Amino acid sequence: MRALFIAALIVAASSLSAVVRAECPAADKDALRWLDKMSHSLRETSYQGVFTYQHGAAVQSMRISHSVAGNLEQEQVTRLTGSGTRVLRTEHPLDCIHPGHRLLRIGDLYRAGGQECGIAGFYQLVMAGEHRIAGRDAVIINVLPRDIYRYGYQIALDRETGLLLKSQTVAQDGRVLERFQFADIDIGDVERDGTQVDLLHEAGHSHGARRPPAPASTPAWNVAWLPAGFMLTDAVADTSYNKSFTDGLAIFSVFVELTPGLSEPGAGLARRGGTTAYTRGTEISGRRVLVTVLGEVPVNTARRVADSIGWSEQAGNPR
Amino acid sequence: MNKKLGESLSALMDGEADSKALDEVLDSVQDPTVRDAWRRFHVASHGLRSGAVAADADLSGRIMAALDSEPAYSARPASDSNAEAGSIGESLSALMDGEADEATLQQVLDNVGDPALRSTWQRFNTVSHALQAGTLTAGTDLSGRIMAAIEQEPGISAQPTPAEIPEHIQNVGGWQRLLRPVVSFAVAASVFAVVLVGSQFYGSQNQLAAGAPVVVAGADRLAPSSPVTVLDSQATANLAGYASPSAVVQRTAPPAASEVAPGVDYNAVARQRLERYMLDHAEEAALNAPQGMMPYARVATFSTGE
Repeated sequence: MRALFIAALIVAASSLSAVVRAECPAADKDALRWLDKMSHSLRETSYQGVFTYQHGAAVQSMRISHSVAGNLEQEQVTRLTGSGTRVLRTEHPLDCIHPGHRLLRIGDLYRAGGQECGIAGFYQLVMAGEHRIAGRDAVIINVLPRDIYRYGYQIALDRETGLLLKSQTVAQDGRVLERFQFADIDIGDVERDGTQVDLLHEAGHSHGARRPPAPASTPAWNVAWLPAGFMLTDAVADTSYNKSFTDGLAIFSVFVELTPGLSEPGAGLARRGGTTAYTRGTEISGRRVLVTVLGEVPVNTARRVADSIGWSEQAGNPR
Repeated sequence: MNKKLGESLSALMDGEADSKALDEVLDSVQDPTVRDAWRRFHVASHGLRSGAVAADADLSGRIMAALDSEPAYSARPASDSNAEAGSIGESLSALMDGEADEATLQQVLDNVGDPALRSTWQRFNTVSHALQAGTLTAGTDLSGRIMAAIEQEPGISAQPTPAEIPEHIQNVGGWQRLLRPVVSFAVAASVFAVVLVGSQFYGSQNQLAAGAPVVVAGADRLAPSSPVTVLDSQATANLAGYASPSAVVQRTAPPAASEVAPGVDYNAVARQRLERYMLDHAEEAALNAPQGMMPYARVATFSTGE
């Protein structure tokens, strides 16, 4: 696993230098520093609280706790409405930084001598005042996409710790698609959560080692087009049925299933909250497949990514 | 028309063309069958006005993407910088797909003197109007269906009358002609595109380009410091007001008989895949997105086995 982790780091680092070479207009340095602080505090701060997830008229509450002991992180979320489900992640090393967070950590870029641009090349970051959230003073940052391939966000960060207190996803026409927001938060030591649960799910973090193998013998495939700034989240095998890509804020996953029995080509779309699922039944170089692009990106993006999927043996340069 | 050219033309219409495919099409523009197919595509796109064809909402975006990748498109007036080049196309696409306020657009267009510009914009707008009718219904590959419809339609295979063909594509080099009005109206578009696209977020005060001639009405959907109402994501298109009252988001326009693909409801497949893959996606989001483990709130179904 360690070799895989190092390989992932190398992949991430080389892709990252491509990221910062992207066009970098005058970026709001304050906002960039806040995002850096947000990324660090998410991993390094101990906290617990209750947040809501809203989309449309639906609201869900969940309890979340995050604690750090030594170099290890433990966190869990427990659903408080509907089915009693808990997701638990234990023993996640603090120095295990995934590509999405690496893209936010401008401080690391400064220290490495990199251009101080990163995510600002793809989003315009605007400080937008202050607000009170979950009883704490928070700074508001508007994150505006620089192209049509991603959504915008309005995020609120705790002024003292930088912890993310609110995140809402905004479509191009200003509609709010979904919102995560803390209703109550306690920063500091974490108490044991005694809530009854029906189902416990263990979340993994081992850079792809836990992935189940591809259902059928999926040939090696790649995605030839990505919006600027997106990179693989994990060093997965080219034959994996699932690959995910992130630009540090948005993330989408691509799934390829071999479906020899597919009777009709076509495409369909489903949306829930900020998530788009675009599924297309088609033939790629003679093989019938069902490809799905699922994530918090507009349908334009999902469709273009789906268009660009091909078998690696044809393209010659696997991603 | 040979099959490969047909595929290139199809890729071109769908915005998937790379420059190689575009070169191939341009080289064959002498070929009367290619010119004919291109004209028929435009006739069919005019036919989209009736809403008879359920189409992808992003056709305009992909046309713009194809135009952006066309070398001749870079021959634009000196006032545009290279940095603006890509973003103009993107802004226009965002405008066309983003349900921009039609009253505002019309107000700006009235200030644009060139009637050819107004006419070209009207044409794009017409197609866009028709596409709005099926905004959330993604159909199958658009050009394939148009081509299939064209093959089967005896009336269309005859030469369209000059009145039906936009004047600027009637001759050889129609592709170049098509570009010119788009390039020149990009100058006017760039003036208001930044205003409209930027001001759709978070109030307009900080987003207006210097010297922008118009005040954007109705753009203050989110004021930065006031709490935001979470809008029902289903009650969408009528925000902009230009979709007709009957063009409610989830209406599926009845497809022409030749386009019905029996049996597979791909929207249902997409919904089912959304459920099935949401957990896999949330695992990656929880590790990479800034919300930490919050994305698990999106997962409706957890698999019981591991």
